[in-house]
Amino acid sequence: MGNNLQFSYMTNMWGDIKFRQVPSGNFKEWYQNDFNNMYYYLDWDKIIKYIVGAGFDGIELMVFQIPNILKAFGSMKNFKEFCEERGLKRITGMFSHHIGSEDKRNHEEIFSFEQKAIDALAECGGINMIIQPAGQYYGTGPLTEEGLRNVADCMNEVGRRCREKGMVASIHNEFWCAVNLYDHERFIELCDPETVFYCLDTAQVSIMGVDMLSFYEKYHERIKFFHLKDTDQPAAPDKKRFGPGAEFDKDGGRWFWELGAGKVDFVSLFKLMKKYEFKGWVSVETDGTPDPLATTLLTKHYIDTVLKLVYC
Amino acid sequence: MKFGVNLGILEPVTCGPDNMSRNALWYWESMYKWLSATDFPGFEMTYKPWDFNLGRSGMPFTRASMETFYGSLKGFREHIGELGIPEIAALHITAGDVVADYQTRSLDESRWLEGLLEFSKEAVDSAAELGAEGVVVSPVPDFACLKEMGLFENSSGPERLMEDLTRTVDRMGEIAGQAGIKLAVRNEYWSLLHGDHVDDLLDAADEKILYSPDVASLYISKVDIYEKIRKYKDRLGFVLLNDTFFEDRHDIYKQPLPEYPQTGAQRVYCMVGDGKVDTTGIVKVLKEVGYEGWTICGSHEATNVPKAILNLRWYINYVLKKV
Repeated sequence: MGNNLQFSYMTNMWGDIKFRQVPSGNFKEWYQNDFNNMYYYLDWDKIIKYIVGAGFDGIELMVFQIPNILKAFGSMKNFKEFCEERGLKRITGMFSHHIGSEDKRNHEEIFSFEQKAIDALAECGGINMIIQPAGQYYGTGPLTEEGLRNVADCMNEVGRRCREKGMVASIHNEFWCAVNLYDHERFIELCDPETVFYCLDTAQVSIMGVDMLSFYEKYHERIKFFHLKDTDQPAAPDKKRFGPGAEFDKDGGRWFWELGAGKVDFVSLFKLMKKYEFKGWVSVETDGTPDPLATTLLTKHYIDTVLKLVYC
Repeated sequence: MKFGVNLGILEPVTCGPDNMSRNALWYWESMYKWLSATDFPGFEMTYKPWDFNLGRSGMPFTRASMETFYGSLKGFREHIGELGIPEIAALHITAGDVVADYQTRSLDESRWLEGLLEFSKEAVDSAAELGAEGVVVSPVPDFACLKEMGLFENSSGPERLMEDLTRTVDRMGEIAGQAGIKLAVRNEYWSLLHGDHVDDLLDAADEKILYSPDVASLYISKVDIYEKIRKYKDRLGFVLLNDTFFEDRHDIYKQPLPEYPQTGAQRVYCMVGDGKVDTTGIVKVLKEVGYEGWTICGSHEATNVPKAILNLRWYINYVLKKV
């Protein structure tokens, strides 16, 4: 086995976790009268242990988790130490978003918002700000040329601010984002290659209608991070991607699946990563699952038994 | 007395399986059907400023989310009516949400009272469009938040805040009154208005401002709930009937995340009837004083929402209605 890749886990599907630790002595107050297993899903202590237990070395955070982490732990540094005590090696990244970035008048507010996120991530030793470049397509897209340039300008400034802290900004292009199939590559070209990189979300770009393998071939020098997840709906029609609240299927349909349960060709992707000698952090997302713990374990099993045989 | 449900029942503390499905429309559609099937005539809605997750999700907590999925607030109202829920009791807004919004947007958080007034205008407009009877406001962020903002650095800080708050609440009441909406103040145990401190505001404010007692909070604050109900018998509205077995032995009410204690006992709320609040005694006193408005039942921190709704309906039918 090689040592080119390290695996991180995005904690978004656990939501906004309020408790630092719920000790076993408090089991009864959650169990009595309800008689269910929710005691096991309340606190960072157990959730970090699940992730480390599954074999992940890192985690990623969501920007909305910062306020309650600060309230529960006092500082991001304390949170980092808490994670390390439980065997985690690194908090690798944080997801954020630039809602309204197509309008320059919103940039200052976005920069202030992002500066807090950048500072928080830097405090806990992170390296990658993963950024949705604009709001949802519904109500925003399609973007004008000026709008697209504004989105890129916003990303470039945040990339510059990340670099000041020794981190990078990376584009995370959701299939339902205002930047979409028809201007996605144009957007990448408008971003500064020195400060703005790309986090390849295998399912998001596939649903958007991008050939993920060709895309990696073309942009492998910009792609510094990955979000691995599967989908059974590649190249979804515009109408579905551009509809209101498209990410959350109104009828309960599922966009995202565990690795190997959909149509994304991960084996070929890992062959390309080997070809281009990718070294770094590869993250897993468990979006769409009704059971993040089950999906975490299934995904790690696929990585260990399939993908690591190709490249690791 | 009409028994409704606080949709806060649907904000369980757990991060467990299906946690994120609460962003999905189908989950809420199921919820409205559960409430309809259990004959709840209406609910109190949580109402929040726009944010990234709420704005695009199926949670009906923001104007944006209702407009996204139902075209308009009127469309949402008609839809839940078709599902069998005839009324919306009230919208619940909090100063804590306004401060969080200001912090997110890097606005000057010391001006949160202005933000609360502005947001209350939006809430009143939304209540009117939804055909709701009222707006309930928790008008002060939690102690720890106020401390962080420096309120207690000057001994006159709290007093000045109370004066400003009274003016703001009075103005909110005027705005609500002009729209035919009732305005009620709620005082949680972690608020500057906790326990008997709510009297400072209500005694100074316009008498048209109603009082929405949160009985679990009053229990935690160790005040005489019956006395409080009797004192404000002519100003009661949207009474929150909830339950707890929490004893605040570590001044949790002054700490960050006061509803999620990091030390000692950690569960604050429980299903109505499971805790130490004398819910039947409270209903008896409400009847004695002739209260005929909404009694909103809440089981915040329910870990199984459908079960909580069924338990609530049983408890209302077989315990509370027999008082």
